[in-house]
Amino acid sequence: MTDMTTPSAAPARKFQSLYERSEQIEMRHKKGTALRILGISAITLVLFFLCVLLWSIFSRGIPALWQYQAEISIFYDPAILNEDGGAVTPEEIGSVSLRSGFERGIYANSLNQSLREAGIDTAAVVADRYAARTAELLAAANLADGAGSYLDDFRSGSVEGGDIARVFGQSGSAVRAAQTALDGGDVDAALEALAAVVTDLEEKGFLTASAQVAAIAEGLSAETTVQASTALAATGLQTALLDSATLMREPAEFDEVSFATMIYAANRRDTRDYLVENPDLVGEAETVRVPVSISLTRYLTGELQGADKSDMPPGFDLGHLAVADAMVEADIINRHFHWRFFTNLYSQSGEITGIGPALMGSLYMMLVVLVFSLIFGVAASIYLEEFAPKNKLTDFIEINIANLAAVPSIVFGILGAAILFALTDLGIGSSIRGTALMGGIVLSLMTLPTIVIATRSALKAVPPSIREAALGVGASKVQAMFHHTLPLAAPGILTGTIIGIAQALGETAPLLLIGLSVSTGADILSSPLSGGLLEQTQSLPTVVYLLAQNEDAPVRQGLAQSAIIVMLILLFLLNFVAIMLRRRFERRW
Amino acid sequence: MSTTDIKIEARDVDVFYADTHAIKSVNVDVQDKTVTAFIGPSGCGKSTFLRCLNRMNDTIDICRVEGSIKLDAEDIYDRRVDPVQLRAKVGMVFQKPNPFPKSIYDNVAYGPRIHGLARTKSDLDEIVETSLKRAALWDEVKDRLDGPGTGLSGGQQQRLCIARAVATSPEVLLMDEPCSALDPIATAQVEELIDELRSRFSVVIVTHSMQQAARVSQKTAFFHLGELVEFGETTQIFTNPVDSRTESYITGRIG
Repeated sequence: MTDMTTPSAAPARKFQSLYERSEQIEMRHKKGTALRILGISAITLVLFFLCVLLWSIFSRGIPALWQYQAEISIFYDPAILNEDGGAVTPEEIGSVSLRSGFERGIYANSLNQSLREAGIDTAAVVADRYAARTAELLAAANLADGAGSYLDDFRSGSVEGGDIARVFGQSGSAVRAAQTALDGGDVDAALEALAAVVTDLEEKGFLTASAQVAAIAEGLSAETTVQASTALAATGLQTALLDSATLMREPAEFDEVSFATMIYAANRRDTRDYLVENPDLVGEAETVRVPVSISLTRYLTGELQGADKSDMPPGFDLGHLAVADAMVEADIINRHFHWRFFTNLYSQSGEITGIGPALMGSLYMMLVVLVFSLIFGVAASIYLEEFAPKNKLTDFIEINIANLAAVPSIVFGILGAAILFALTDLGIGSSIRGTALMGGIVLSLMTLPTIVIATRSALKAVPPSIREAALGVGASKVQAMFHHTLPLAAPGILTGTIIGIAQALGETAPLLLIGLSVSTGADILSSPLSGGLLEQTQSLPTVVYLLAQNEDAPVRQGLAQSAIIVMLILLFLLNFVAIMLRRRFERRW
Repeated sequence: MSTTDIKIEARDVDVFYADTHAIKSVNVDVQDKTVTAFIGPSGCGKSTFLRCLNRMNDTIDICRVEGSIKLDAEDIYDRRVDPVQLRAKVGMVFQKPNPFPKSIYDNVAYGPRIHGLARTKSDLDEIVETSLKRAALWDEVKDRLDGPGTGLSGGQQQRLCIARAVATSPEVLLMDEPCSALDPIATAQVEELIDELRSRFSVVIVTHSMQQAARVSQKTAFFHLGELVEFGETTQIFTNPVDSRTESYITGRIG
């Protein structure tokens, strides 16, 4: 470069002020800003969805834990327990036919009695509600002036609802006939029909309405039938009268069946067993809180207001709503924390469903997973990392462990089911089906690759100098591993293990396949040491699945979400333990 | 020099890393109670050769050693030899101080413990104290033996590692660039220590610093490209090298 030797020939350097950004710098800043915006928006999006998720779970799951319960005094009536009368012995209770529905009698009678004691006259409450609703309907069509006497009679019980319905029905039919005549355009027939309506309404005391109809009839000619028809329809007389008639036909005696639809009568088997265990209660009363029925819950939560037929909780009519309101007013129904949810067995009935065995089953399975996958996982990792020769076989194993971690969990479920069938052929399948041990083993298989991968990377992360130091002073490979490398890798191993266990805790699919969802014998388990692992159980995720499938009120009430909250709390606890262990064992080198 | 003085006798040693021929037919005799220095440019194989002497290369799968290395006339690559037993006799100090993340006491006591050198707690205490004294660290750490070994300064850590190596009563002490991570003061301390250790052990030291080799060693071996170029008395190597490559290296023309 000859021109380099002559500085004068070099092009004059352009002055670039430090205060001005060059184009290149500008470009870099733009890229940096874009990246930052992208990162922030990604995080915002994730946080937003997390918030939506948590909100949707907690906003439904937490309120669902407060259950509407009726505090009533249950009287174990000997007359119901022994239809022949006479003494009731535990043997006799034990032989009560479960088909008789005896528990319904006990609960319904007790509820009735409790309401009476609280000063609620159910018949009057029901009649009041019907009368009020009918009055509303009639008032909407200017029929209030005549309605009073009929409804008063109804309230006092001197006239049956059916009779009043007939009265209103006749008037309604008359109005309908007039309407039909007007629509037909036959002036004479219409006038006749209208006159009949006027007379009828006047007779029954509906003076305002009668005057209205008379006004429509006045000056009716062939040309004005259409307007008259519209005017008559606008009075709403026909609808009001006919609807009132329908409504007044409805009231029935608030009987045992009606009471039974208000509350959840305990499972009859449970009731019988309870009485067999506590025979002293027969003929006695005890105050208990009974969950209200699903229909009533739906009304109380405001989901179904009962304003019309489509809005009426199943099996309810206005009378039920009236009694329900009266019970709330009398402080018999209150919301209470639903403790039993955490101890009860899963049930199809939303009122008494629970996650007790499922929670225990999940905890037991985590225990099994911890023992199996930690022992085998750490052993496998140490062998692969430290002792295995590096050849094609170990490469193959390594690749397959990585692949195994990505295998969908249901595949492990199929494997578990296949083993189960094989065991059934050997005659021991039924004893292990749906047990925490079986579930735990399947979940262990699933968790193993995760733990192996985490453990190996934790072992790899220990500086080789530590291992060399140990070997240098004459430690064997095993000593170097167990005295130095493994303790230093412990925090990483524990974290990996807990992540694996947390993953196992949330796994549903494999457990469904090996019968953890349908375990009928599931109940609160014994301790793991006394065979609890070999008892039929359920697991939290399968119960969440069942709850979410359930068309019964639990889902509407949000019990599936409540179960999820329990799961989340377990996960948080696990993570907390993981962090604590890390802190405890973490060492600097 | 009588043959009984020879502690380690290496004959025709070849080392391969997979296909790479790292050490080519090296013959070295390490004398007892002598400091032998291995010098040479980076990658010349001096560390590799050092690690052959206590079979630390065994831990590297692709490494293969040929030829014979005898410790007290016993072939250390014989099938009957357990490398663990060998390493108890041939201790090692590494380039980077690598104390265990444990207490100072446990660092030193680890070797004696796994080799069963101490029957009682007081025996062990004595070994720890002696070793730390030999490593010239006792006065600095005697009040905090329960403190973490990793909490010491770099020079102290390296002396701790030397104490740890000394504690198992080895016969040969291998040192792989023990001062490369240390400042001049710590280096001086360690060098002084090496000189003292010579009275009890045979010391083999790999170093990049020719001054250090000249200061601490009695014998020097110069490696170049996997070959042993020259081996002899330190004074002779540094003042009157036979090979022109040695001369070039020590005068700074190559390396």
